[in-house]
Amino acid sequence: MTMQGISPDELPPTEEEQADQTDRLITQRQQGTVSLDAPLVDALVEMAADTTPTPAFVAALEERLHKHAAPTQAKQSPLRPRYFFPFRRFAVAAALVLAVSSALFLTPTVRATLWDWLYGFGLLDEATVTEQAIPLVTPVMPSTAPTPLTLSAIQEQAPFAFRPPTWLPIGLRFTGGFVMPGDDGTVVTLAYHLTDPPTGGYALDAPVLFVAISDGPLPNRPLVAEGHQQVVQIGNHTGVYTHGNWREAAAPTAPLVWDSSLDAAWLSWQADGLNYLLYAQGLQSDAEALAVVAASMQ
Amino acid sequence: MNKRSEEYQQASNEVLAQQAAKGDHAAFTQLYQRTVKRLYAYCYSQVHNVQEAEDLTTQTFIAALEQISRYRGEGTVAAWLLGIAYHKVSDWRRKRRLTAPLTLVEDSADPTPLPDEVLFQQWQRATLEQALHTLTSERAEAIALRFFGELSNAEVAAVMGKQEAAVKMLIHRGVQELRGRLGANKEKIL
Repeated sequence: MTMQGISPDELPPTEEEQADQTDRLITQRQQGTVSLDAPLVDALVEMAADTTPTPAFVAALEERLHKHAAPTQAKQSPLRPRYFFPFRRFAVAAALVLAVSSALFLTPTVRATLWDWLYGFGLLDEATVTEQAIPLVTPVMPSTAPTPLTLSAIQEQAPFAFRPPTWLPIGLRFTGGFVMPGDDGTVVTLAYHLTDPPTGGYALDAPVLFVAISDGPLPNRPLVAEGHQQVVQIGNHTGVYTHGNWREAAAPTAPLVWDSSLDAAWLSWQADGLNYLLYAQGLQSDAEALAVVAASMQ
Repeated sequence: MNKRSEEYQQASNEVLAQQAAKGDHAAFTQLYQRTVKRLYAYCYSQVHNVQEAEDLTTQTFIAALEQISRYRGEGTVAAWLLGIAYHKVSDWRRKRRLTAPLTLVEDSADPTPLPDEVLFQQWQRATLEQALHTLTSERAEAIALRFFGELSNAEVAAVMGKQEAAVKMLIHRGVQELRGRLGANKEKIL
């Protein structure tokens, strides 16, 4: 103590100085060079060090990332064209749709394949669906894309009888489809466009209606964001309708956000042992319109 | 071990990220192996549940794999990855609406004698975990990124969108708050 009061050396440290000291303690402890006794900081650092994933999880995730890498790398290729459905690529895209829809129907949880489904439709570029659960099955695009089938060929090859829609939004016509057998069932996919495939192929945002039918398991939830679902009556059956789509947020690392204003409509239902899904984009479809399409298939 | 593997082991995270962005999955794998522990630790520190932590870690790395081409070298790769995890956790928290803090383990005037060192450490850790739950969201996040994510203050600041000085203060006050909450147990922890 001086005559004028407390000397500067004896002043208690300011909060900023204390914060600096805390920061130094943390850094020192993390670097293993503790100079002061700081049990709480020690406990936190040790707790962090002890928090480790199991080797099984680390190995499984690494394997999963490896499997996930192939389609991702293809998607990120700088040579990737603007359009997802150019010319012969319709077959590839449709095959992807099939692979995706197959996984969709055969996977225990719908959320598990949401990303893959959207990607299969070419609706997503480089983005993530944050509300997805952990994908249990990653669809693998067939190495050789099959040729789209005619409707009569599809009906002949499908192991179950189905009725294609007899009512469609104005201007839509059948443009191809596939029959894809799987371990737990077969998926039939039908595509309807407003035009024949143009020379450059269908644009990414081309109006389209996809119809998927499967005799395999289909979770009782739609494909899309929870909290945006609406129950729709289809004759004697109940369907689940959702309007909108995912879009990227402003920040690169921000999660996708659900945008109900986007022109995309989803309707899924079960009937007579089959699972159905309608997906319409660019057609200004609503629940009522899709319900009419669905009813025309009963 | 082939030459490329050796090169990758020597390479910085940033070089690996650049390679991964070009489609080199081996580089991404190396990056994954280096960072999975801290990503998991960060996620676990936020959700306190192994299954949820594994889910969030998985989501983070899948997102990173899909977005690696967007990494522009602004900031460290670790901070970029933790930034993704930060958003995943935030989204998880919004959905789960885990806003109510857990009750701190009650301190007893005559605590039950602990039979051995292992049990003591378990109790100590549980107490600390629960105390972390009681911190305000920002302080808990800053502490988690600093301790569990092993980020520097500057990196934490970048992830949280704050000034470095503000982060340093958040962490300091968080530690102080922990000290206060654990005061009753200071014989064991402080």
